[in-house]
Amino acid sequence: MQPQFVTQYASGVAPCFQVGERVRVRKAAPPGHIRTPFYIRGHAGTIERLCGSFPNPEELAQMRDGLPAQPLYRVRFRQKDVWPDYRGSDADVVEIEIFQHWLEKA
Amino acid sequence: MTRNQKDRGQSPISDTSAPAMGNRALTPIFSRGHHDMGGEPAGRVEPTEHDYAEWERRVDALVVLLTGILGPKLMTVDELRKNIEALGPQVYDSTTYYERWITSVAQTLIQRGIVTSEELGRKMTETQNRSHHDMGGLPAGKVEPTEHDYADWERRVDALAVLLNSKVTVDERRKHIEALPPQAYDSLTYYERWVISLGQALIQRGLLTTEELGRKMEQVCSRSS
Repeated sequence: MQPQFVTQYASGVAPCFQVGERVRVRKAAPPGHIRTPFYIRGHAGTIERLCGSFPNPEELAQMRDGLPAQPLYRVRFRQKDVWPDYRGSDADVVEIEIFQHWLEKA
Repeated sequence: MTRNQKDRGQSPISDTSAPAMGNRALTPIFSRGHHDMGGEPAGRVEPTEHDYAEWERRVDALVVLLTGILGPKLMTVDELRKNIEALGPQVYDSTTYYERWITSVAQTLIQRGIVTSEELGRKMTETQNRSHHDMGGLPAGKVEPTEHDYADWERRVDALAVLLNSKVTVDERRKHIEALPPQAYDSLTYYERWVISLGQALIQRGLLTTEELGRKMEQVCSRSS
């Protein structure tokens, strides 16, 4: 039997961000299982790509189906923006996969 | 006007007028989870190569099977994560990676109603109480099969057991082997355990007394020295 990884869900939220668009991560701290790292919340970055739509992990963690599926984006942040004392190159970036419901237009 | 009346309708977060509260009123109830430590001060990460213990491979396989990558889905990795993240900071820091996994798997299966706390508790007690010889499924090193011949005394012990079969059953001999304390069990070879259990079984059957066996052993030992 081959492993099955589903990336297309019939019931999904429509993507609302375009590649290259500036977005800001919501600065929220709800309880429960969250896939958005704490350190990136509140920071602004650029949509690098749409990865597909997936059931919401925050709901899956509570034994629900996580539907409608949420668009998941790879968002690119400048290291210098994220870490005030960053000593590397200006060109260095960190890319994080973030669900749409954690993003707002910057 | 009481303090309660004055504060009515005001969000506690916007109330910065009470100096006794300090920053407390501004601190969110939920902040960074202990596990979510990206960017926190830490020592240097030293990457090391290491192999996995057998039980760790088994925990990994269990999660693969439970999350339905190959069959029916009994839990999600998000539940696994949720229950890892729910560990207290002290427990989180003092457990290893796969220890956290198996703790979380147990919690998740209880939450899902697949096992009950009672069942799990009973099974854990049973495992802790298992006899030392009954080691099937326990973590162990790799079994290295080797070819070897038997010593003359080993052949004789085997023959003795065959000849005494009508007097002493194999189950009696097993019972005496299994009654060996763990240290003795581990330090003896296969036929050493056999000969000890034969002696014990013959004594219990009344075919030999402890005294007779003791005297005979003394005799043999003094002859060889």
